[in-house]
Amino acid sequence: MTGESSNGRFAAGLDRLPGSAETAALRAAALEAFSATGFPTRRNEQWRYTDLAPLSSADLDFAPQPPAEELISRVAAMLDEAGFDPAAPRLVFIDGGYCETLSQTGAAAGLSIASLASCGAADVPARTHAALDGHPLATLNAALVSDGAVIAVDDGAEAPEPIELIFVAGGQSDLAAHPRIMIDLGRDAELTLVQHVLDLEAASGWFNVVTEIVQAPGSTLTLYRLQDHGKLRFHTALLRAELAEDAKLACGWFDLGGQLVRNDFDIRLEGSGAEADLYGIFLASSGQHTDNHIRMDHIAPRTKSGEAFRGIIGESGHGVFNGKVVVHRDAQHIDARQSSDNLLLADNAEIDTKPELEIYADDVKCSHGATIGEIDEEQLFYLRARGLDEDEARDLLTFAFANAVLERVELPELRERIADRVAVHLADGEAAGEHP
Amino acid sequence: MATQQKEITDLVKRKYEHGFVTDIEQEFVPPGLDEDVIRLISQKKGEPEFLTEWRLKAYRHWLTMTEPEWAHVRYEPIDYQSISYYAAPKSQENAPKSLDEVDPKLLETYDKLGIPLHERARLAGVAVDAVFDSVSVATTFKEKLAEAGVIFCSFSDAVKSHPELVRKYLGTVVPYRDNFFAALNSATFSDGSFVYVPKGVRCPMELSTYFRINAANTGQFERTLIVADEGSHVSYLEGCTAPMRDENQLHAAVVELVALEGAEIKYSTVQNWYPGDENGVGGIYNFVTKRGECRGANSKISWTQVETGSAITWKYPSCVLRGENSVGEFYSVAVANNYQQADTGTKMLHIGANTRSTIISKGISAGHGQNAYRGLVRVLPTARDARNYTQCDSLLLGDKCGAHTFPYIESRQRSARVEHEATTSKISEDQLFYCRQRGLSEEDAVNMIVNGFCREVFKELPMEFAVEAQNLMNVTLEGAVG
Amino acid sequence: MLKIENLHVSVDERKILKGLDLSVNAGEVHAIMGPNGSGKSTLAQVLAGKDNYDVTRGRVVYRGEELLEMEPEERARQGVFLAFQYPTEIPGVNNAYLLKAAVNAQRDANGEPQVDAFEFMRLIRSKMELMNISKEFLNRSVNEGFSGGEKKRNEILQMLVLEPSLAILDETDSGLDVDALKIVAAGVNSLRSKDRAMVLVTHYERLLELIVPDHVHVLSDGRIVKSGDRELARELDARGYDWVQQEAARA
Repeated sequence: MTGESSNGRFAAGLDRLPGSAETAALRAAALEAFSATGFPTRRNEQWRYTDLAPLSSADLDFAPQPPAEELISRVAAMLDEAGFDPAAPRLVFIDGGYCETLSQTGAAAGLSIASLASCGAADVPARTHAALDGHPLATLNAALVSDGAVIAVDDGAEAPEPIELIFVAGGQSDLAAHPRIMIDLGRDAELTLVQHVLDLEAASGWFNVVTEIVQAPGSTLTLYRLQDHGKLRFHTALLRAELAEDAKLACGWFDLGGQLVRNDFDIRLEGSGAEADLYGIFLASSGQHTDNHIRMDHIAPRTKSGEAFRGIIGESGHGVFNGKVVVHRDAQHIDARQSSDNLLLADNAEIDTKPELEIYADDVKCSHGATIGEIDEEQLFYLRARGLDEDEARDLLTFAFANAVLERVELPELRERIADRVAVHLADGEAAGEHP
Repeated sequence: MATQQKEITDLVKRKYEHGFVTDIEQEFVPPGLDEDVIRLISQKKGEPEFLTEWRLKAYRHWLTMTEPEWAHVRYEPIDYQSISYYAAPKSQENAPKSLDEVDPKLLETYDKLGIPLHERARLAGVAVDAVFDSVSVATTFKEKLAEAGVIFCSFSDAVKSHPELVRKYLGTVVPYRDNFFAALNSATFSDGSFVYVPKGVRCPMELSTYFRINAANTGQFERTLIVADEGSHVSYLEGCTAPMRDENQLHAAVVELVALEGAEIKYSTVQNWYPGDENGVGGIYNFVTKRGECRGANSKISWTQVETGSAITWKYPSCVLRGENSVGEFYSVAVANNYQQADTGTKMLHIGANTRSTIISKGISAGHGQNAYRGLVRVLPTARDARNYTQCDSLLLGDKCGAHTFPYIESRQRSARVEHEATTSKISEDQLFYCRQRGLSEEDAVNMIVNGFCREVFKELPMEFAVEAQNLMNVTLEGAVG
Repeated sequence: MLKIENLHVSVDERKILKGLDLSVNAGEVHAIMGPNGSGKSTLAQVLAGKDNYDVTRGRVVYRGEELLEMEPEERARQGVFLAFQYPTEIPGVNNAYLLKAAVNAQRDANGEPQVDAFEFMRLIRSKMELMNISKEFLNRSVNEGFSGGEKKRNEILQMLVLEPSLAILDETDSGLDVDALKIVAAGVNSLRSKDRAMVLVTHYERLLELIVPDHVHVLSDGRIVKSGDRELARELDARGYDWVQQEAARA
């Protein structure tokens, strides 16, 4: 796709998006920046293993309408059925648009939660980093963003309970949503945020999310994301975080659904003592493609990072892990660990992993490990010798592989929810494998 | 740790020992490259037409290519028209029939390099093929090898005496289209070594080649082809040095290995091209394509390299594991000191079932050196039960250098098992203190620890090379540590 | 042989030793005891020249020279030996190779000729037997994969071979079973002589039943708070450290 035609394609939706003339100019500028490069191709080293052709050629509506009453009630019913607590503090978005009826923003002291549009729809793009260099899709988000979430915690405040962000795709086909999430933590503030991404019905479409995080010294942010799209959806996301001294960030990322999923993390450890810990599970089968792409910049000394991702790749699935740790010059006393462990469960499955280290300081302890293989034969035999049949034993071992990461989820209900969904998806993947 | 820093500095400042220029008459082709130059090179070497044509095809393809930029190295653009693509010692006109006829000055050169040709040959039973700039000067022990049926000669000789073998295998592992530097080499290569080990033969001695770039403004584009026929075995060593010069010199070699069923090739390199001075002036650009193909079942190719020289190293000795049960190995020590840059590693392509590969890489960075490991392990769907194990460790000596690891791991076969581990750290203060408490100087302690760090690789080298590699390492890092 | 005067040492601004005095003569064996965190290991490391300690005050004179001015290897070559509490692993470096290099570094410093491989083996054979160390053990990498007991026996073997004037043994008894403890003690005792001094840093009295000290000192909160003979060690074993600390606090 050339810049010209993609520009035209997005421009059609541009005038239906919210904002003043000034905002429109910002959108146009971002779109122009995007059009200069267009969708990245596999010739770009950052996209070596992920082909966006199906996305760039899809015919999508880039300016979704606000949800109708009928759709809202269907979403409400689905969330109830799925066991979400309507009284919990939460923001619900349908097709990228904020749904006030289903949301709970009764905030505690020192905590503000709001939809991006409610903070001033007119200057939505102005409030965001208009373009994030080197991330064309984030630039496109800057052009097309219509809504999102803004969460701020004041100095010394602590959110009393986890806040949920629920993104539901409403069932209309070929929608493209560009939400933006902005999180701002004051000095020593604490927050736990859980992001749920799910589909009302399996339909094609695209979610292109940008999350911007700014953490003041001593703040602690725990983020979870359970991405449980149907298997027709494209999902791309960039999470960018800047951590000041002694700030701590933990991200637990669970990608179960989606046709083509790409998660970019851009973490900047800017203050001494900052720590980031990223971990996750991703499943891919039945033509699914999931790519986790991390750049971890150790800019300040005495910073620490961990990356631990596990992929379970079934029939015709394709999993990718690309983690890059960069230790900047004079950033001494660094501890960075990366691990990428992967199970390949089917013959035409593929896994590509690229754990990279780029180190310009000497007082560092950096390591990475990567493994790819199928279920351990000896463990399998051991379980069978204890009387389990082979399928049972396989399921158990596959789940155990995921469970090592699941155990790190500190919210028991969430952990259980993810575990259930992992089990369901694994069973699905297997079913697909049995009937090629 | 100020004293430590100082000693590092001292170590780094150790001078290059092999920097001298041999004063003998040389015959040059004037700088520049076009089809006429290629025809001239081919004609001077009396090559058959197929080879001339092959060179020209490579040249034409090269013209369509651009220099690769993905490596983690930085250098000023190379002017390929300012390089002379052919330099031969004049006395080549009457080529020596034996060592006795070799220009004594040349022999002296080898002596200075610590390769007493006669003695090394006699005492160690090593056959040496020495390539001086681009032309093979002397080959020893031909007779003994001939008895076993082993062909070991300069590439030019092979083209004349065994054109059918050259034609059959040349470019089958590294096609001229492979990459920019391989295409350039295919068009312009002037000489190199050729080895053929017939079926079932175990080569009776280690084969060895020494390369040396002498003349200014010349590139060295040697080409090595080793074919191990079914069930044969050969161990080949190469060493490299170059004189000190202020300008950069290009070395773009191609090495092709072919192992047929049940054959085994062990290829060891101790690379000590001139690295430039402590300010990064001068030094060799070592842009080399080395690849071996395990073409037959149960074959094995093992690369061992100790890379201490060159201003820039761009080199990925690789194995194409086509035959079932074939084995590929890569053992590497790479040092980047002063302003040296190294981007080196390997590719293991698992095609056949039950193929196995091992990668052990040890990178050492000192001064302002930048050292990158770049490796690819690719398991294709056909490679049932393939196995790879990779261990790559980096050691940092000083806070101005860099150590980088870029592994690409791709698997499309469920029964394959791939494991990769990497660590990066500086030399351990505790280890240094322990050794010093036992009375060792800091420099000796560092050498000992660094050599220990490299031991897994050194032990893969033939004995005499292992000692040389160890000494080279100490020399290279002298002043680098503390 | 060794005179420590008013030694103050800090690590990362934290004061560990706060005015320690100690005098050790040739032929004597001193035991330094004390609860965890009292500064025992710091003292041992500072004497050997570990560089992440800040000596803020005081001096140490060893055989008439300022010990703290010397590099670690100079101290070693002049006969100061530290048996480490946690001997470091050095992958790829042969155990025998390190020991031979250490012997030769010392000989070089004394203007003596280097030992070759045969002499070296002759030199260490009986000592290896004494420490119950096999030949294979010598060919392994330094301390790599050694059990706790093997590491400690290896330290003592090195000490026997290097024959130091001043041996400092840092918690050499920790982690040893009774049999290993006996071997270690036999090794140490074989080296006792009138021109050699030893400083045993230990937590427990049991080592001192096997290596009988001439003087026992209690280190508490960075100072020597009580000195005595071996009976003091027995008393500490029976009564713990609290009473000494209380006594010191009253004083």
